[in-house]
Amino acid sequence: MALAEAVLATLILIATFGLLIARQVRGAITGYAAQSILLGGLAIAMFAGSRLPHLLALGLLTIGIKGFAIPAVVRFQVRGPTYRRREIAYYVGFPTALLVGAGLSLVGLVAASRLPFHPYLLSEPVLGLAIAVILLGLFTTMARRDAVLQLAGLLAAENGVLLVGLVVSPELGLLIEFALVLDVVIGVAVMGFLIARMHETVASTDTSELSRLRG
Amino acid sequence: MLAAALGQCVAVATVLLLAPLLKGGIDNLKAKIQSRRGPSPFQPYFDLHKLFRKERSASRDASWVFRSAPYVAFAAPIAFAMLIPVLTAAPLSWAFMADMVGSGFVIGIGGYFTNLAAMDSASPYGGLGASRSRLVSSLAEPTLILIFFAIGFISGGTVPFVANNILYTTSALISPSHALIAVAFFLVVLAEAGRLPIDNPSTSQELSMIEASRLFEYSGPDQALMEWGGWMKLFVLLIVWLNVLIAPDGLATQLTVSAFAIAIASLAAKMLCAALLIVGVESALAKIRILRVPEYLGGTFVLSFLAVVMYSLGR
Amino acid sequence: MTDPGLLVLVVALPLVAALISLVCSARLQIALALVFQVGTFGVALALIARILVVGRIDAFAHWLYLDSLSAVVMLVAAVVSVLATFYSAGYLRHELQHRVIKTDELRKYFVLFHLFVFAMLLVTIAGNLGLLWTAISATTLASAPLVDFYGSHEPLEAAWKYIVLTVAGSLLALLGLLLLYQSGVASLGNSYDFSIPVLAGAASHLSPTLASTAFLLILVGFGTKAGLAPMHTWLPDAHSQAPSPICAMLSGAELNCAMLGIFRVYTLTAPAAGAATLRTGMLVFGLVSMSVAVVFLISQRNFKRLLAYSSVEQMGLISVGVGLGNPVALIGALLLVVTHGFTKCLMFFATGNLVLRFRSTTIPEIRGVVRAMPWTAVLLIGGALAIAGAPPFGVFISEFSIIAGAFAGHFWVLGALVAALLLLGFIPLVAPFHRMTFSNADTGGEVAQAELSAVTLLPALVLLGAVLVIGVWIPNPLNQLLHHAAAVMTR
Repeated sequence: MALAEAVLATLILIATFGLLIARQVRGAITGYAAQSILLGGLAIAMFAGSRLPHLLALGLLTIGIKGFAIPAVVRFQVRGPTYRRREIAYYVGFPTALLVGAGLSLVGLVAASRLPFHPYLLSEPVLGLAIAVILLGLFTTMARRDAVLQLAGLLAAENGVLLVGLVVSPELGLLIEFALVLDVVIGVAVMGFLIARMHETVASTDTSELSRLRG
Repeated sequence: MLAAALGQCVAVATVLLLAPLLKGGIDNLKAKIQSRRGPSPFQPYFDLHKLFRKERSASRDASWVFRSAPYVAFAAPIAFAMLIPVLTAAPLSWAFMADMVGSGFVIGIGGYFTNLAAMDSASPYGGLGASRSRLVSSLAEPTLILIFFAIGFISGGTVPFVANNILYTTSALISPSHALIAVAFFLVVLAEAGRLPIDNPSTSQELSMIEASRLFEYSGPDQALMEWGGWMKLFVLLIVWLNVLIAPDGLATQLTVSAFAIAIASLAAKMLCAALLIVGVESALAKIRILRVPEYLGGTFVLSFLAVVMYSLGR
Repeated sequence: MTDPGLLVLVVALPLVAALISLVCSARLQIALALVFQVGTFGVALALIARILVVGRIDAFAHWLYLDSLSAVVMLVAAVVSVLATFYSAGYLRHELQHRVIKTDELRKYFVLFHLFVFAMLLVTIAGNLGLLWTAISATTLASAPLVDFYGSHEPLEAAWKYIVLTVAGSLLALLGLLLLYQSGVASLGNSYDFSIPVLAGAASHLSPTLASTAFLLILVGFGTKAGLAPMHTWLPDAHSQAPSPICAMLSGAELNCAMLGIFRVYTLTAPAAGAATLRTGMLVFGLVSMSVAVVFLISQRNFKRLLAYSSVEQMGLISVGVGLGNPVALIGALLLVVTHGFTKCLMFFATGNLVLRFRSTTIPEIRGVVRAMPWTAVLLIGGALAIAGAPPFGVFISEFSIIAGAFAGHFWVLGALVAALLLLGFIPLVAPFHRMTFSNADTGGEVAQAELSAVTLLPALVLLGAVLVIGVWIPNPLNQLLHHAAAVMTR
């Protein structure tokens, strides 16, 4: 495995940690953007090694759509006074989140090392990192009360799945990868619409405002 | 033998003479990024020159600790420089004095004396700075120990030169666990050397200072030694990061003048990159509140912990 | 028309309908929807008839694939969709007359409605597993804004919970699919066609560890979407806040689409991973779902939530039926897919009439339905008995087969447990509907007798008839289809 790919995969995990412990919505969006750009860079680095053209397309799409377009849209959406407040609403505090995140990464790494895996373009540690990224993303969604952070967590987990896809088979190819890109774009549109509705309805994106349904 | 001793002297001299340039360079680049003219990169040399000519003054109640601290703080990074691959890939005569843990002690004793002296002067800011810097260092300790263990684990030895050789020649260099260690160590260096986001080296607000408030009571040559020692500390820690962990390229393998020249040149180039990185980090981040320092260092601990786990899983 | 052509047509019609309704005027929406959805229904029936003859249709290099198993789900999805279209027509007219919604909102409703139908039918005909995943995620994305259709506080909360949980689940499912792909790399090479027929051909050569891990991830992932406990928490919210015709589609059809995803992967991974391991997983999730659902059924005051928890219970039972693994239970589970789909759809239509008339979903607030709306009362009582599993309705036959299958397979305790859970759920399901129907209105005197339009009754009556017929005598084509589907799953 080449140097660039190992480093990029590691930095993706670190960016996901950044998202997990971000205290402000804007910081979290930056964390997601960084993660996406690194992921796109990883795909392009793999293209450089393997000459599979769709990896290049995937890398550029990832950087363009997830690294810039989606963060820009979300940033536009979260402009305004609600987001000038210092800290986001959360269920799990930041030090605890960090500890749980470490535990989840451990789970991901150990799980990946137990799976019988055929190294292809990327090696097994990257699979562990990718599973760790998925778990961290999903945990972010659970640990934060802010809808934008929940969305960011899902998107980060989705990047992790894409990374697993790159590890498992870069030739699985067009379908899953582009389906994912499409899914993300439509998903962000739908969830962004719902977040805008939250602004209208409860004048905040704190999902704990939405807790009337019980039983 | 003589060549080796000479080489050692060259290495120490390099650290001594280039450390102020690193500090000046960072200040200059940072000013450039913030679209200011900024001080000349050579400003620290002028500062040192000025301070050495000034009068030394100390509190009547200060003890010998206060008076000796500048010398210890100045000597510690120099001793440390003998233990690490500054210019040469092969260990020089003093390199086996201590391994990584030992060299950690050597660099730590400088900070220890600085803290004692800060409290000895009985200035309120000194005590504040000392206790804060203890907070940072004691929280950075677990990460550093874990990093040493991880490096020892990977390379089978804890002497920096050995680690350097092993990491450089085996495939361990390009594993994700190595990358994690490198990132964690860089973050710890920022904290230990009093850079953003832990401590703002260019602040003028006493209440938010960590590093600078410990030096308040010093003046003249004492202050010069203290500051120079601080710059050298950053310099040698970055050397460890660059030459042991990331890019051991360009180190001299023979004790010839040309090899040393290349080594010094490549070190300067690497330092320039490191300075750019630090400037980038410091321009992008704001200082975090002192209460969040445990989270920052906890994060570095998590990274180094994952590095150890990944390495042991991958074997 | 050729079989591949029919496959394309069945998804093309709703897609075209969505595009047309995006541009056409709001007043034409209902007529447009009726035309296209009836057309889609006709094509789907034709496809199911073809499946009975040819067994399976495999087209466009395995991209589209329909066999008896997916035809069962297609049957439910097509019937529920077309009846929901008719019901929507009556339901939305009533809402328009009472100015609950504006004419413009019809466009949003029907565009999403058609896309929702498109996604569900695409699930049933997807041959490539990546396409299957995409289609299942698309059902969420199309239906979440529909859950939020009324646009107030509670629907928004329900829609958000729905989308966050199901998207998280579908990410786990995708991770599972990627591991499934990896499990085939050893025998099929690094680059192979990730489709159902190809993997089925190599099913016994997959890597066992990866295949069983993949199945578990997919069971959790699609299980979130199918409403298996403990990932079901979105379901009662979404099913109680959406407009009634949408509830009918969510509960009657969409849950089954997610189940189809689980069935598919079960079929593909069972030979390599060992059916026993996978069945344990399905049994555990099934029993947990049934138990959780029964607990929440008992204390429920909202009748739409009551029906939603009943869906959790029935999905759990389907999972148990598959988990038991013997043919009797398997056919029972597949029959339950059909009968539950029909009955739950019927119940949401009937309770939808209550919502329109009384503007409430709280059980104690509704009294004297038998006087106010006699036909709806018939539907409510018939449907409640049917969904609770009383003979002679179809759900009873399915549940009976599953329990009989448990005993036949010597799962004595399990069979008894399932029977006990179903009995525990019976009274809480029937009693509220009985009370709402027959007790007198205690406040405000007599409610005037007034049914809503016939359009809101007929679809439900058709379903009640169908469930009754299936309970008494399973039509031969359906019987054949179910047996073939069971054969696909035990191959």
